[in-house]
Amino acid sequence: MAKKIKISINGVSVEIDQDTTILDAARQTGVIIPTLCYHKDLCVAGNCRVCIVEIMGQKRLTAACATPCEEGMDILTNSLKVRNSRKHIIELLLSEHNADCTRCYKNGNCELQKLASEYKIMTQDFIRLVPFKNYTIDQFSPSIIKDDSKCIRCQRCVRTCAELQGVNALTVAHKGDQMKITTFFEKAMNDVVCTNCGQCINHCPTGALVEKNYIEEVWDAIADKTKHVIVQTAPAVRVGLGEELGFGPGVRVTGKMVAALKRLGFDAVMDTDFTADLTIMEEGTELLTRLKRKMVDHDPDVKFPMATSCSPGWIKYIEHMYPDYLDHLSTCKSPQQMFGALAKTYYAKARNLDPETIVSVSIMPCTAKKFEANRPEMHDSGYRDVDYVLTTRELAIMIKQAGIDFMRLGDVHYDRLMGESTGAGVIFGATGGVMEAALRTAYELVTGRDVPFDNLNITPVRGMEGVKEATVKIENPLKEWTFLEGVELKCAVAHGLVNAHKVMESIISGESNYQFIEFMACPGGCLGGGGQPIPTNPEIRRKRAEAIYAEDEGMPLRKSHQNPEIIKIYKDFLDHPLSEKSHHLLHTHYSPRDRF
Amino acid sequence: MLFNSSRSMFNVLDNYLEFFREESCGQCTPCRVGCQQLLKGIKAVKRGEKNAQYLDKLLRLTETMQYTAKCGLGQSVANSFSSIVENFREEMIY
Repeated sequence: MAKKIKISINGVSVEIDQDTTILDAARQTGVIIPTLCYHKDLCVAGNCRVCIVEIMGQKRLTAACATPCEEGMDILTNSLKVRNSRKHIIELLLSEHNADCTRCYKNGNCELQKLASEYKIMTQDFIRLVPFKNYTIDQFSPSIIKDDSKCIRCQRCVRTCAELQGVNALTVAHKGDQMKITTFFEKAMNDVVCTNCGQCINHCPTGALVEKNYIEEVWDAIADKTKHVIVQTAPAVRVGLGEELGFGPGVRVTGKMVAALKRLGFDAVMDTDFTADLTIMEEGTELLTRLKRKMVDHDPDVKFPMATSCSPGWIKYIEHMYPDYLDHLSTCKSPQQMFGALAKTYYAKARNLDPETIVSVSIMPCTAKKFEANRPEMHDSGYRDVDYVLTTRELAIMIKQAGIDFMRLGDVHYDRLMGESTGAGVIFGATGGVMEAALRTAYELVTGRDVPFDNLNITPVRGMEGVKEATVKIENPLKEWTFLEGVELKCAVAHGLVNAHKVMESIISGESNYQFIEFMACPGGCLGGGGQPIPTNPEIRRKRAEAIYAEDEGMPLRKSHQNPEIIKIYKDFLDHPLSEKSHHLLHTHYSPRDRF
Repeated sequence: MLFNSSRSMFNVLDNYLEFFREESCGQCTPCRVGCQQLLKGIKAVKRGEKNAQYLDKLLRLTETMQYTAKCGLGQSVANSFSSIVENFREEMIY
């Protein structure tokens, strides 16, 4: 038990744990202190100074986020001195900010706007500084738009990129009035070591960092009668979308989302979970094939550990940082791109459509998916496999624009052919999900029995710890797999690129001897993705994860190989996992990239 | 600090603020933006673009900077600013 100390906040005596910051102590006692540079995911910076409070007996004000409480402190959060200073600081920030709110993408979800509204800053007494600065908008990245004129220098993006992702694409340059957040040599975002993960967008309090949106393009496609517009929805979208449309965090809105997509005018609404199941079939088989090549054929070229390839942020990260390790990646495309390639081949054939007329849209919790869809190798269908990628947030905008009362929608089921999924596909949205789904299928493929965990729940790979490990011992395999008898399959799961870095370093140093590793670029996996509703914080991620696992538990089928549409696609189209056709459509290759 | 009577106190303050604006590390809001506002502010008053009362607003701003800036640099801007503006107010305006 932590030692308790007594303090007073606005005249009310409270007892709190020692080492609690003034900010947390206030929140615990129901007093809200505004913040801008503070974020629960990040280390404390204390640079915006909006959270200042008065400690009786001290002349200067104190940043509540950066100061621990001390015994006997008498704290005022709303004295005249605090209020006047805070108002000044908000006014200063606004003077340096392009406050053209009605034309801003973040209008309505901006922390600075909210503060200005709370403090009723109605006048512009200070001199507007924006016209004196040579601000430019960087729109070169397919995923991220960076508008310095809206930046308040809170450095949340910088800390995100360094602490959560270890990428350091964004950094602080210059000092004084020239101080700004920029990139290596001030290059454009598409030209630097950026994984497009979008965590900076998710952590930006203003409109300085936003996703490149493709909303109008999708509306145009829907309105075009000559086009057949199909849409896929990623696993994590169903547990995030509700937050943008009036629900609290962790509410599953799968059926309502499908209903809304149909009302928006999409010709077919199908599920990325289906291709998640397909990924498991391909990736699981790939893992077992690699094991066989190593243990039976003693092939020196086969690389272990095998790493998952679903997260495009992680893919770009390894291409930049560990180009010598690209052979370790599974050759499987991500579920989004598998869906895209099948949409213009398998789906087109089954529905008797000209693939030329199909517009393939995906709804993703992710901004790196926009980059992935743009990769030159993603044209295996003969066309661009995925035409437009929208984030969860963009879908919410479309639903609001269409005037759909989301709360009152009934549940609708996905369309057939590529709309059926299992619980294994759903948990792709959480960290550890791909691993769990792969183990459920691979273990059964090898032994003919369920994976030896209670109710298929492989709990060691769940949860929010940065690096998780699990070992599965294979016993009594089927005849074909006898070489695996007694083999301990060592698995690891890493989420957040800073954790991916740790695992990669442990592989390089020879400290670890894993066979299979799941890497996800974003903290918490896709449910904490850069395209998910803002705010995202540890508590919200936990709630979304609970929702994902609840969705899995509620599914009648929970193993990818049981999915009837998966069985059908192998029977009618792909023959078997790793067949020539699947190699052509569902697998890809990676390219080394520079470190600078 | 001593200056002889031939010195323009406006120029002295301008020089000080130029220094602070440039030497501010830029991290905390009151110092980074405050210094820019003070420098632009006294120039605007001198040019007649802002009225003399704007100096009082700037004085209150330096008070906020003193209370809230992260380090001694931002906190100390108030000293030179208030000393010059309060004692040589007419030089700031005309």
